[in-house]
Amino acid sequence: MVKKKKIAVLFGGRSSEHEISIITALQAMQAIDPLAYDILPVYLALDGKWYAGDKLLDKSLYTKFEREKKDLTQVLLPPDPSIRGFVPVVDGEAKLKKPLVPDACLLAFHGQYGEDGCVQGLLEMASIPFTGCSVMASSLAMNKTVCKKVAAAEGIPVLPYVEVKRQAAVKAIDAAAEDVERRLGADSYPYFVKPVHLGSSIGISKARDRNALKVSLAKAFQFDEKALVEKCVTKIMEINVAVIDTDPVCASVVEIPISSGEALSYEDKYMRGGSKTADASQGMASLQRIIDPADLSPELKNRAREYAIKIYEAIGAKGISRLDFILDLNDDTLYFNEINPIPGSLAFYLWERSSPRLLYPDLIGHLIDSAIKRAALKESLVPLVGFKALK
Amino acid sequence: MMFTALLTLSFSFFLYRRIKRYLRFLQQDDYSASRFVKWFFENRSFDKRGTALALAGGAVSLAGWDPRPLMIAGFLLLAIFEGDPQRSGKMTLKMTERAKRLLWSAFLLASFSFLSTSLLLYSLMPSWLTILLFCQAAPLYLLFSLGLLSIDESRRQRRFLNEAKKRLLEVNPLVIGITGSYGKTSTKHFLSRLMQLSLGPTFYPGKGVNTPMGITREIRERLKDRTPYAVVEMAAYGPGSIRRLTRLTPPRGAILTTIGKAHLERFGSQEVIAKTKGELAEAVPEDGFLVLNGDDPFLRRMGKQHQNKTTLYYGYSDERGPLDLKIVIGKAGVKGTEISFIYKGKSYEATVALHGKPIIANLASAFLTACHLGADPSFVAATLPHMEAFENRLQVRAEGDTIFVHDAYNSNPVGFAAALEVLGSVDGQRRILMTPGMIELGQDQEYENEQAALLASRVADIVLIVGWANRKALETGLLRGGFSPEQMHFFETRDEALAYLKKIQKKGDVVLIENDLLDLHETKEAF
Repeated sequence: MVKKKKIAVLFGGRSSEHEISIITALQAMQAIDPLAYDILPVYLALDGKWYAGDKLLDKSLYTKFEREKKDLTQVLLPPDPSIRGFVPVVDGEAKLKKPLVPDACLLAFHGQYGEDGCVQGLLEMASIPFTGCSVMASSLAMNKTVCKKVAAAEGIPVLPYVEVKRQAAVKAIDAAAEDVERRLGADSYPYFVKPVHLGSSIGISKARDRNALKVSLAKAFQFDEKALVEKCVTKIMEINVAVIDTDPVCASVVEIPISSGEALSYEDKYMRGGSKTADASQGMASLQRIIDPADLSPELKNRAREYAIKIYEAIGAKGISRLDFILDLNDDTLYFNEINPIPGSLAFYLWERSSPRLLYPDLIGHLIDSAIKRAALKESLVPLVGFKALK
Repeated sequence: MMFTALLTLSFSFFLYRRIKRYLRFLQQDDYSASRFVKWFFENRSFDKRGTALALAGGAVSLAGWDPRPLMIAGFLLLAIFEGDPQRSGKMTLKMTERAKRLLWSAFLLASFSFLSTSLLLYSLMPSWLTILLFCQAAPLYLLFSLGLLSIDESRRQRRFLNEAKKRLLEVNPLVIGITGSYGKTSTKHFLSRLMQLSLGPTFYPGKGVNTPMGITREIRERLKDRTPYAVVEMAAYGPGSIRRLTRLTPPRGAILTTIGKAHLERFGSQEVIAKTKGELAEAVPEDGFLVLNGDDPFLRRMGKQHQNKTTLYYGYSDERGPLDLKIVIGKAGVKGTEISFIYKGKSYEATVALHGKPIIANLASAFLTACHLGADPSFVAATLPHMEAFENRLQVRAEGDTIFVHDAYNSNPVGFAAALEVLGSVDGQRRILMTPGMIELGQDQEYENEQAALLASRVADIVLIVGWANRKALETGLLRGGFSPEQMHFFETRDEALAYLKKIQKKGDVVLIENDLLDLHETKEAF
């Protein structure tokens, strides 16, 4: 009998998408094949500490976390490859001799400190295999400006944009707004303003004139040091597609998420279910959407999938990423919008309808296997050892 | 013997629950023995249930039977019936370390003395009589423990205070103090957010924390390194209390929002209130600055007493003197209010998600302060639409077909009038007011409630009066304003009023819910 692999599922974190991370993790933990894997949930709580324990599987724990956390074990992750695991903290003491050693980590973070390479870096130092993008691809993917530059370098259309730095804008916002208008064109309002590093539509707003632009910049600067201002597309359709690092790299069917207003807001994505009975806490999975729409031309679908794979490979992504595009219905230009290195619900709802069909447990299985393989390959590289200059 | 043991256990259980319940009221009054005693007598909170049961036991024993089984079962039931103050009531009991110490010392003292009294006076006093005496004495044990523990408490508090002072010296933030009869918390909320966004990391104690002990705890627990700014709300519980706070957190700048009539019964007169709040202005050094509400005559007067400091005024009208920031209010609606701030000759416009003149004045004071500290006024103006009124401040919300104006917290004449203004300015068919009136206004309470009701009669179509406290004054004011008795309805509790409201609600209604009182004054809890 094959020994069950121990998988630590990491989620939570100091991010504005903390709640969504919990949802993704709970879903994933339910979908993991219990015959092949043992689950160790590890939650990065809002108090900054890391906690492990089976009680983390209970959804109701999180809203009363302060009271319930005493039933969990606090753990630390030392960046030490000789330990290679999570060290329990009991009565203020780290039990270094009794680490919880997983075979791999399934990462279910969204946003800062989890999706952007921070945790990935720590896991690399500890030599623990983990799913999804490496450090560089993660941090790159979280920076919308740099992603646009990569897409443009690959010959993929991106909407004209201006990046505004918070430091400059806070001191003189009128000048910052004037600068944006000069570079984007003062007659090309409305603009779309968003924080450069965040996801899930937090801090995003539309500006119809200069005053509104200032208000939108102030809104984005609550959350990030940099803001991105783009020209709005008037007749717009959003197209998303997921990519997975099977051999060869493969793109899923496309989806058109349906929004209530001009672009998906946080409320749209996470608080409106697909039907009255849908559980609001199903996150992206419950969003109203059309998957593989029949009336979208195959050419467009293939273009989206092609672009997605190009960008995915250009940034060196791994695991499952979801790439979001904007279609300008006026002239059928497909613009790259952003990439999510750890998409909500791991985009399982897209793979269920793709061909070949991939069900959630299989997806997770693939992620884990490739994580372990990658780590093994890395270990086979010759390490740099020895002193030459100091001898 | 068995019966005696069981009776002791059962009665002790009851004592524990009863003392815990009293503790909730003591905690709400900030552990002030005098205020607790005042409440106790006003509310007539002496024991009735336990006494009734004890008397029943007495009757039974006079009839020749053993009263103990009845009392064992009875006190067990009563104890359960006391309920858990950690779950019931609007402000529940928080089992802090201090609360725990008080509860346990009071309970242990009470049950120990009950046991010894029963044993020693066994032959002199029947058990039901001893029990009756202890039922009445329960609150005394709580007060006695309060006194007993106060020595240790002050030592503890002094240690915490010194730790906090040390921390403040280490981090050395620029402190802005805020005081005033009302609007402190809103102003603190706005100012700390504006400063955080436009100037740098800003420390501020949490919601409702405005006493030296509370602020000390927050400083010890949450003040991080490299925090250049701090905003501290300072409440005056009596003369000298603000001065004490300023010794803990010496301010460089201060905002004084208003000198009103809130908590008049604690101070005695508005002059005393002014003097007490003035302690904050006095604590500001010569190179500091004062931000004062220019519409308030008391504050204009106070400003003149501090000519050696930079004094800045904000307000709606310059009839009392020049304004450094003039507020102009435009249209109001469900989406918010259009406002302009005129500062240094320029006009900064925004649509804010706030309603009512008082809270917009609070926002203005925060704007003025942030700009004076060096923030770009254009940037600060751009952040104004993102300032939210948080819970229990005047909010306008559509719930189904009805628009609700919630003004639920600590009402005062100015706030009430402003809320009525907003009620009048929102589009709707029928206007309904639900309120218990205003409290803690001392001598002026009856007059102010009558005046408010008079104002209300001009705006509202239906008025729901909650509770007995101001019933007469409100009804008088409404009748004077031409209301007919059919238009007003009386309810003992807010739950009853809300139920009635739900019944009569129609499309196009605009409902103002004004003032949600702490249960110290609303319904009388039974003991």
